[in-house]
Amino acid sequence: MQSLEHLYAFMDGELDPVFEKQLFSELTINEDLRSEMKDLLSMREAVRRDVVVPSLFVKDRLLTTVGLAGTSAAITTGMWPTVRNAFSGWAAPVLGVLVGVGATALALISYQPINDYHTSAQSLAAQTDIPNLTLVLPRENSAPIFSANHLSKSSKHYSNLRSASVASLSSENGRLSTKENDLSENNDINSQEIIESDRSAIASNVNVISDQVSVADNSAQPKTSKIHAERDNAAINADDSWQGVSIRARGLFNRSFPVSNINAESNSWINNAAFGALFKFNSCFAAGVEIGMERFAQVFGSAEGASEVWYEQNPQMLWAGALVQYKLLQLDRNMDVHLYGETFAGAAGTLGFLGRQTVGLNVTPTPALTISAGAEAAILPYNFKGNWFSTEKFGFTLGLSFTPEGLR
Amino acid sequence: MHSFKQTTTYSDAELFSMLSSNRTEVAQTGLATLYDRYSQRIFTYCRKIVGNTTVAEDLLQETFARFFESARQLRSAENVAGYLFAIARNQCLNYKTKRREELILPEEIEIISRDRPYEQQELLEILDRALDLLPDDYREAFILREYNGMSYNEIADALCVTLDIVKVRLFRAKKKLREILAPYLIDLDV
Repeated sequence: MQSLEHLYAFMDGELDPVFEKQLFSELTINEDLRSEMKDLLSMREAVRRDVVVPSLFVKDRLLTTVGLAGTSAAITTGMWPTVRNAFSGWAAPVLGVLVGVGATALALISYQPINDYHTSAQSLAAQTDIPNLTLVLPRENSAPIFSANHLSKSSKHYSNLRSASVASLSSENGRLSTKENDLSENNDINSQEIIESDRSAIASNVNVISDQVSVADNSAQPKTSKIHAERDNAAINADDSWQGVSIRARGLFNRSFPVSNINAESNSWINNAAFGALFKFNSCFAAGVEIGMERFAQVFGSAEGASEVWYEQNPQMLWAGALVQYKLLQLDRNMDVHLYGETFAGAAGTLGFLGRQTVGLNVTPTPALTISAGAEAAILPYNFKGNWFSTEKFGFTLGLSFTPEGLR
Repeated sequence: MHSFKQTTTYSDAELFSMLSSNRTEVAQTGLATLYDRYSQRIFTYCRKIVGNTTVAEDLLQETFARFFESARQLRSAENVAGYLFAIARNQCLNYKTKRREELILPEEIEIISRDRPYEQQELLEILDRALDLLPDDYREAFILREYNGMSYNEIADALCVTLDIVKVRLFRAKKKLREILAPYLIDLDV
């Protein structure tokens, strides 16, 4: 019995050293004792594997119960004092919004419409005294005009041009329309080309210059209106829907790195939502502002005397800033399916500046509605007592943009 | 950017004193850090004593809530871990006392499934059932020693008994468990 007691105490690290030698000797000759030891080891192994961690909810429930929920943990003293004072409260988000509004306003002021056949046609109408002049170009016929200055004979557009045999413009019954024209193999689109029209005095000269088409009135030189070719080669009828103000809402499904368990369970998607407004300049480019709410897990530390003190928090912060969105690759024109990129710059509450990059897919089934899905990465750099830290976020986003009729 | 090393070097006493701070963020840091440090041990103890994970989580929460409320008035504590354990123990005992007065339905017996291999799962269930067969005093000593890793002296302090009583309880608990589990330990080759 004493050997057994010694064995148990030894297994627990509590055996008096004076008994160890006696125990080891006993183990060499006592098979039952060795068997007992083996079973104890097995039992301990089973216990070691019996690990269940409490739910993460418990911690938040606890903090809520004792009235400590919703506070930012750990920033105890002197966090980034100068910048913090300057960007206290709502200053950073408001500044972000102002920057975004300013950038958008500047873009609007300096905006020169391109790809606006309708405007050009109206301009042409004004110059030629023909009311209600519109430009009617079938989509396939607009294709060759797109990059005439860069068109090679092997390109699809050149083939389209040849097969359609349409490259000139003319007026018929007050409407400017395409005119079929025969192109010979030797025609070099890269050079300036004047295509004569035999239909009308108006717009009888079509001059392909760079990526523009110049239409001249034969009888009223030098009245000339330039019709800007569309870079993206999309349907003309869709041109009008490109411009306008979109209101969008999106959810962000992302995770912070470093990972924090503080308040993590309350990280529902509604806490990671964003709302914004974008002005679409054309089919390729939009800019606007966005405001949202997210959690940003932070782990940071500093030397405190001889030791190093680390802090952890996962505050929910309001952020705001400006963004630009740009088309990367057109996949389908009927529903305007395209890959887009989006770059955001702003600030997250008092924490620091926030940058975000998104790559995603935009689908526009109707001019009023765009559905977006994308992957994104964000970084929140911040400074604590002279050291720089960062929170990185990775995830995806789903959103809807509405462009109401009145804003188009 | 700085590379992260998630450690907190505050002592228990320092964290305890933070709990009475008037600054909410300081108190939260103190409580959250102490929770991170001791919640697993307290939870394991509660789970093994009451035999139910959900109840154990409630008891864990209640333990820290009471601990926080007390700490707001105490200002200092020499043995924070012991203080926490004492609260947890009272919570468990109260729960068990109340529970004995109620009818326990078989479907309320929880079988914890955490995607373990079947053999391991079975052994853990057998271990739980074997622990249930021990007298409360023996089981508690075994849990504190094997699950919480406490020394004999710490167990004696926690249970307010002598060192010899701890040794006896542990010896008998292990002997009994070994008798129950021996066939399974051989078959399952843990």
